[in-house]
Amino acid sequence: MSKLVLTVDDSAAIREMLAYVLKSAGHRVIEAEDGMDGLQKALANQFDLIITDQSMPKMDGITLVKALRALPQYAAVPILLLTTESSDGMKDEGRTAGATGWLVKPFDPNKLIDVVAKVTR
Amino acid sequence: MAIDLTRFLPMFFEETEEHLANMETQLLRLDPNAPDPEALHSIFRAAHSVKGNSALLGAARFSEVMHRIESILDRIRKEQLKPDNDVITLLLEACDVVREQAGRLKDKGECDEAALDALHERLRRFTPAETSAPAPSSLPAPARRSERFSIEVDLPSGQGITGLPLANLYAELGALGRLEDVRTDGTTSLSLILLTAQSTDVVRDKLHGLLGAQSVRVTPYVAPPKLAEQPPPAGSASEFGLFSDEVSLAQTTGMLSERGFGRRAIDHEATGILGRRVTDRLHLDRSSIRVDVAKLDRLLNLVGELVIAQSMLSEAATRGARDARLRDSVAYVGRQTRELQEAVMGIRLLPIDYLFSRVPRLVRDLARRLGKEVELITHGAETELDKEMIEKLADPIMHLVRNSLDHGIEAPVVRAAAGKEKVGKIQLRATHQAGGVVIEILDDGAGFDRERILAKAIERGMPAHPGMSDEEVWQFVFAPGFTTAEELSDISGRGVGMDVVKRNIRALGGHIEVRSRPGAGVHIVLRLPLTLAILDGMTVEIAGETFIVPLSLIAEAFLPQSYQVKTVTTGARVVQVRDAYLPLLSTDQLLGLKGKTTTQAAIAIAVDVDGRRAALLVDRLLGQQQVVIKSLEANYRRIPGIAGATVLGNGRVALILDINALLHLEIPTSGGQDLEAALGAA
Repeated sequence: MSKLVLTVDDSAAIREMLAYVLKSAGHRVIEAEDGMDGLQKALANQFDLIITDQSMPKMDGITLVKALRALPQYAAVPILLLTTESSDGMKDEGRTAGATGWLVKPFDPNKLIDVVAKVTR
Repeated sequence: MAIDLTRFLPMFFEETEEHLANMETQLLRLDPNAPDPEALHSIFRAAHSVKGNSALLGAARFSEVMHRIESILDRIRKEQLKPDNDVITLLLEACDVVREQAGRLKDKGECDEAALDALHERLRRFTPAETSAPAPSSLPAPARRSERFSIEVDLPSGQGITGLPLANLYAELGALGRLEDVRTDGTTSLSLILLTAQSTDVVRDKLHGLLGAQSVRVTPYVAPPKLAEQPPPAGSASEFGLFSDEVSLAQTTGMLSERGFGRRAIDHEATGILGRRVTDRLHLDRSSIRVDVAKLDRLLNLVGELVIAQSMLSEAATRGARDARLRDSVAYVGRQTRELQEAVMGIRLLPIDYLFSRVPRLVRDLARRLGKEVELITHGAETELDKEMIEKLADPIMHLVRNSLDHGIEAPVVRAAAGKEKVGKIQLRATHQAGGVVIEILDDGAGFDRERILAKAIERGMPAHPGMSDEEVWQFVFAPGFTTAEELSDISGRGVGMDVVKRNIRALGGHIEVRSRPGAGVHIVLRLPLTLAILDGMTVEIAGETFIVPLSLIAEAFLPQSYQVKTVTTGARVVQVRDAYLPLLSTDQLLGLKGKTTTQAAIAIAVDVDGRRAALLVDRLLGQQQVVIKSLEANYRRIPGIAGATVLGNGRVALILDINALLHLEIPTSGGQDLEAALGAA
């Protein structure tokens, strides 16, 4: 089923790639280029899923997760952290902040589609 | 389902370049004694992004190198390592290696592993495992420019967090700096940590204005005591997982790089933008999009054609039509066309910062090698000019700065002895002037040595004599192969510089002026048109043909009286203009046209090219107009004395005179056929 997905990454290339993959699976995508931009867009729309990078200007991914989890409308929406390496430290931080899961770059496009289906079911 | 992601490759290479350029700029600005946390953050983020991109490009060795760089940056951030000259140099050189290897990867699909290994080894010496970390206390207390604040917000009772104007609050915080933490219990309070360069008062005022003074407290952030240094994160093999259900989902599947993403040939046409750098401004601009440069060029070309078509239409309408409405409409189309043309050209304008931002690195490296101390000051980096112009200016400007550093700025001891400040100054300035751009390079070094230049010029058999003005003497510097340097250094002084600089600037339709005072330095002024595509020209008639003379080179036009014209012993003629005698050139003869221009019936145009003056005889002045330059070489072939061609309003081709070349032309015995053939071909 088509979902409204927010992708947050400061790399335009990653954003385009994510959008390309997600749209090919029939989802609708809105892009944000840093945590603050993502937060603003999340306040303006109700997303079914949020995929965010960790390291970004203005606001990083973990902080975005915390800020989103502070909002009642995003208390239960799945949030995936996109990271460069899956380190235990990052996972701990992500879990504490309230992220639903993590996804390591480089990701396999089909895997991404599966994961999205899984967490938004 | 097969999803092909190779189309995103060029973007990744482009972004990697941008991140490296950004790292370099920030590293050069870093104050070793008080590194700004936000700047460090930004460098770290850039390195991290390059690491991420390398993983996507299937370049594992890159990721390792970038990981080392991150570790070094992390130690600087934690104040375990002082970013002194050696550290900064190492990091800058690391950027160079990565940039070079990324280029190889892009062009050849592979990189030089040995170069990356060598770099890896060098970087290792600065990372914790191999070196003992200096005690943090041995570092001076940093005077920070940005600071962290704790912000405590009381939530409206009964409403919780939804009672706050959240969109405005976050927008305000985003404008102030970087939001680093958000905590809330959902009902009574919201705690935030903000990293900002603003003062407590500014932060407090903004938040009080938004939420009311009663409910917000802003205090300097105090870091909670850390129990122990966290061990470096250990990599885990899984690519995806859920925090609630890790085991079932954490299986490894194929990586992008294994699917051939990363080792394919790349479509070079698709990489746009100016190669190296995109300024922060462009990054911040939310509504910007990337467009292939080739598309812009095509657009500009089409508009150029439209301008020509429009002027044809306008000429036909003003000549034939009695209908006032038609004339009005045509005039309206004319105005709109001009606006469209300006708008399209505007798209191609970039801040000259693209170029200026490359200079600090050059100055730093060179100053170190030469044992000189130099401060670089830039003004007007936001000045915009055509993208192509910026690209073509890079070499000349780098060369001029190199010259200033090598020959101009003296060694610190010499400067001190001369009563100057030990640290030399090089200034780069860009300004818009009279529809063009002026770029100045100033140094406060020793200045040109008049006697030495004169001696050298005489030695080389150039027409030099002691009575020459300074301006004339400085012109020798631009002669091919001219150098006064006794020893040839590998930096400059091989004399293959200034003549090339001058030629390049000339090719851009600009010219170069030099001023110098002994002991006070050299001041170089480059005057350039805004764009390479359009020229303000004077249309003139010579031997029945129409030619264009660049307006910027024309000093004046006058009717020469017979008493003003003298014939000198060589047979050449000169014309007296006030107190000076200018060589009087018969343009028709220079171009090899079968002309009938006589001094009596003709008009003389006094031109000035880099201080070299002359008067050109033409039959008639037809008017002034902007012309779209078309390359003659591309459409026919190169002809001496002709810079290009354009299509006039009446649909006929007019050639644009290359005044500088004309001043150096010998009168040909037969060259007219060439020109007539060109007119025919074009």
